[in-house]
Amino acid sequence: MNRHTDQHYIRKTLQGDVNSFSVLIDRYQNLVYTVVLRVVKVKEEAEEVSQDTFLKAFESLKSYRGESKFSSWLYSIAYRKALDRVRKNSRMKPVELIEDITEKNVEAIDNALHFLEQKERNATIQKCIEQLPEKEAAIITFYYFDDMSVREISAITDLSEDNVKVKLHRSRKKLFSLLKQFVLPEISNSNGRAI
Amino acid sequence: MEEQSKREDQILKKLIVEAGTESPSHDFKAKLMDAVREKADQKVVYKPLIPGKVWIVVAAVFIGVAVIAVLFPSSGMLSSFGLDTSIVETGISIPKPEFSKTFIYAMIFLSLFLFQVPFLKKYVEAKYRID
Repeated sequence: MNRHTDQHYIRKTLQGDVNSFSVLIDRYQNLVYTVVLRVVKVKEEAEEVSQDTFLKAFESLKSYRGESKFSSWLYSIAYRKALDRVRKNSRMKPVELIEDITEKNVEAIDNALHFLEQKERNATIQKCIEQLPEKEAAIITFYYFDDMSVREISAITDLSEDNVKVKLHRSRKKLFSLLKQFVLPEISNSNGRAI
Repeated sequence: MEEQSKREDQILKKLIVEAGTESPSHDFKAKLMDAVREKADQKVVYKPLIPGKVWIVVAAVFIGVAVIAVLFPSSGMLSSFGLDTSIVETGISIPKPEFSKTFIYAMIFLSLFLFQVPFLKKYVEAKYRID
């Protein structure tokens, strides 16, 4: 396991050692691919956009000044390229109606999730994220998976911090509505009673 | 309400971290590295026509000749190399040039134009920068 920093490999790549760039690919390919896939929603396209992202990063490596984390810089390229692809295919998702979720619902969803096998649980959350609009799916990944702050996300997405907070709040509500439909379909019915 | 948001936060964090990342196809890296190498080969490496060391030698010779000519004008050191030092001994007279107004205006506008080049360059670089 190599313990050199990203900066070390960036410097070596800039000095002409192209193979050093492969270490950076190893480190970030899954993260970049996951974010892109959650935005573009189609595996083949996600792979193309991820390739474009790394190529663009390689070409522009000189302009990376190390002011932000390399991962954030890479994410900003991936995010923009993924949105460009979605716009090109004009597939932006319309905003959906959010169902009201009570505290009781939250606990019921958590309980129901406990009874699922890990594989099933993972598939469920992936399906729910897939239903989110593109920007929100990316923001959710940055915030919950990568532990990024609102400020960092705002820098990556070019959205204001308030806007990021609103989108986080909305996507959290949407995810819970979707989770409810997936794991508690019986009380998602209009009469609210278990069947 | 805040309590509920915190609880939702906890549950989502746990779920999303547990779900982990997706992986691209197994030949993703190999294909990408091929494309990267191709791009690297296309890059033209800048190499100056006259290397820095040669410029230092040229400057040293030039300064040396100038110093000898000024400090020892009549020592004959330079004339022994076949160099004419009469210009240093007699003093340099530079003819006074006369420029027309049109020429002066043209030079002013040209220098203004050249002056804004670095600003425009900076502006364009900032506009198309990735980070």
